Amino acid sequence: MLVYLELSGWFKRYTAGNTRLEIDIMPGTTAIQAITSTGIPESEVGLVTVSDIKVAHDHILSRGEIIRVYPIIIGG
Amino acid sequence: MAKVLKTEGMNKCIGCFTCMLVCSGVNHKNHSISKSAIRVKTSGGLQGKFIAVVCIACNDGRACAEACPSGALENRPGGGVVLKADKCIGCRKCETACIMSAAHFDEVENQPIICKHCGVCARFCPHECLMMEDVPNDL
Amino acid sequence: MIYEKYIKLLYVDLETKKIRIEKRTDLCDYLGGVGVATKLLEENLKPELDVFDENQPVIFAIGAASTVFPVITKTVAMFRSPLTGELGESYAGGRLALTLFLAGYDAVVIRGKAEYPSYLTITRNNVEIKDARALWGMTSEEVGRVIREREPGGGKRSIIRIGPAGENLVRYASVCVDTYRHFGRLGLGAVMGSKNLKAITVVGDRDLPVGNFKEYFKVYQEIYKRVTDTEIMAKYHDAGTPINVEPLNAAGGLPTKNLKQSVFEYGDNISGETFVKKNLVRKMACTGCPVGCIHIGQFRREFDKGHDYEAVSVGYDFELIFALGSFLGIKTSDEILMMIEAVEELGLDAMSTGVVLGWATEAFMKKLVTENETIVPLAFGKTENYIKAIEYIASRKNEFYGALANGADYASNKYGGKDYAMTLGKNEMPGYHTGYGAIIGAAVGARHSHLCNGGYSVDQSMKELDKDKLVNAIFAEEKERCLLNSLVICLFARKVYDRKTIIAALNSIGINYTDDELTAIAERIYKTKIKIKKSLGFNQMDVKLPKRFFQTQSASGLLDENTAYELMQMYNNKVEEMMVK
Repeated sequence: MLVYLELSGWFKRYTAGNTRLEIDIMPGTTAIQAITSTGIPESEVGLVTVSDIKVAHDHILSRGEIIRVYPIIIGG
Repeated sequence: MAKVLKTEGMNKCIGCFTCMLVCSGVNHKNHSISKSAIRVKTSGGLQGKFIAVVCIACNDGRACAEACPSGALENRPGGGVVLKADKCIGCRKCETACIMSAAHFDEVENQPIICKHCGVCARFCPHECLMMEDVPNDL
Repeated sequence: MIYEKYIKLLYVDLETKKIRIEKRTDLCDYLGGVGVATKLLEENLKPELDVFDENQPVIFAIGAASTVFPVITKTVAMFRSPLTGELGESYAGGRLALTLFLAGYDAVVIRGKAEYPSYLTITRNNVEIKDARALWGMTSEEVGRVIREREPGGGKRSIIRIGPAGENLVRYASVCVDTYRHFGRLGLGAVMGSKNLKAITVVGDRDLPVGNFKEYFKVYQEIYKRVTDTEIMAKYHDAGTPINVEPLNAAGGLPTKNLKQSVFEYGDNISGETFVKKNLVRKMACTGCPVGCIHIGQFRREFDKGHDYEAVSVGYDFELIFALGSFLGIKTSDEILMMIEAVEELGLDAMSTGVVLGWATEAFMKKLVTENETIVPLAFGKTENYIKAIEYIASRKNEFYGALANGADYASNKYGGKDYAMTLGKNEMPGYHTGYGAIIGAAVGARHSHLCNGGYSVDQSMKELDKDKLVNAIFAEEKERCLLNSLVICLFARKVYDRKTIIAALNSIGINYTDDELTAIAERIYKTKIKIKKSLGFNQMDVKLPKRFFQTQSASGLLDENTAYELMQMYNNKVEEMMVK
């Protein structure tokens, strides 16, 4: 089934410049599994939202969901 | 084929001084940036861009070698010079002769510090401001 | 001192113009950096005297491995903070660490008050106190320019200086270091101002043979590779810390409009990407750091009619985009840069200034004060009036701005509105409303900064609140940073400088400590800090957590006041337990 990833600009380095990706996944796939399948390391993934609501990384995806991915917060 | 140092990417220079720290370290086994053959400076305060003052590997008339009275600076293949320390008398004429102001003087060792195009600085520059280029051997 | 078994100190008395050199072998137990500085602060501080008394010390210290390894770039300054009244600890990069190292000093202790405005010059073979009367009143840029012209040593020199705010004893006046870096927080600028010390310049060029080149360079190369190969360092160089704006805003953790909100509707306008697209012109590094996280943004300003424009460049970072941006409802990147420039010129801490103005704006809106006090109407998003207000704070223009110059805690004690004076331990809050970790971290941190223990990042990694885990994580990190800040690394490289790396690096320059010994040193330093805080009257459980923290949702949801105080008590118990061990 298809789901859609909307990635923060920082992730372009892993996805050959694409920030909008359509990916085909098996039912039962979690958000983090879908995200890392694009080449993004798990350690780089911070906030993940589905339909603008924060979800856990192990949220199980449904058909057609739009997943927004943000990088982790950095600082001193 | 010979190699010389080129500093064509200085617009990317962030002023980290890594080139100076490794030049001093590798070539003089010293922690002080004063021993570095390459000197990175601003063109007037930190708001000015960074420039690298270093030997440009003259191959058509090496002014420093010509000024040396004791033959301590030998022509280096491809350009620039190599210091023969045992012949150096510490007169500093090479320092004055260099048009690029790239020869400076080590008062502790009593001899000049002139880049020998070894390439260590280019290897460690984190943003590829410095590179080694192949040039024909002119000697 | 590298390759020696002592710490080399320079004592400067500004009044008598006399100096003294000491070689202290006992201070090696404190490693360097914050360790040595803390011990020296304990020795030289006069708790019974006023914070601006001429006998109070200012201490600068570099660390056990300063400059010789990548990203070990910082200098620590320790003093009694006029803002909080207790421990003052501040870090800066730039060229100061390299120049102190090559001038041959591990630490500088400054006491006394100069008879007239002066600046201090420190070189390898001379220390002088010079006339700065003509410089008094100048902005930090002007002072830098004059000293650069007048003093030799370009290319191997650091110039640190205060602006008018420091001269006027604004309690969060900063010290500019080499144009783009600062000793920002807790008011070091005011302490220097109270000593009539306008600037310090250090020239460093001594000869220093490497001890064991093979060993040393092997470790150098390993560290260099890890620093330049990892993603996290690329992140600091790429868009820099401003990359935080977007995820924090999306998570509902970006303090906005005096924390009335934690999401800013104009977040995209001031995101890291926007600054890159519209304003970024240059990146720079502190000497010894191959990352280059300093981001310089430019804006155009019409300074006279007849199309007279100038291009103004200022450094920007996440904390400034929060404090002088979202916290004050400023909607564009250009305006934020304008605010930063105003704060830079006058020598004020950007974070405290923004948070103080946030309180002032709300106090004005709620009519606790009127234009009689504020002179100009203050409103979120109204940059022009904020810039005037910043000038009034720096010059203590009237009683109200005099109160603002003393901090949000002081001002709210006087005029009211304590519930929304966003300070923790009297230091204005940092830009993270991520959960309990952010609040407790700054409340218990030795210098009340988010940098003390990175509490805000614990919020990120914790799915649900685990009180013990949170408190333990903060406590462990607070101690570990005592070690890291003794080297003195830049905290952006803390993932590279794990214990294994620290031990290897120190070994290669002849300093041999085991892991346990390093742990003991960290604890020794932390205990000394706590002793100093207590001697200055600090009591952790007196710290009040402004109610606004519990009224506005954080990135972890709505927080509970009682839980927060409970966490603070749990942390304090751990500290008390450590103190009697």
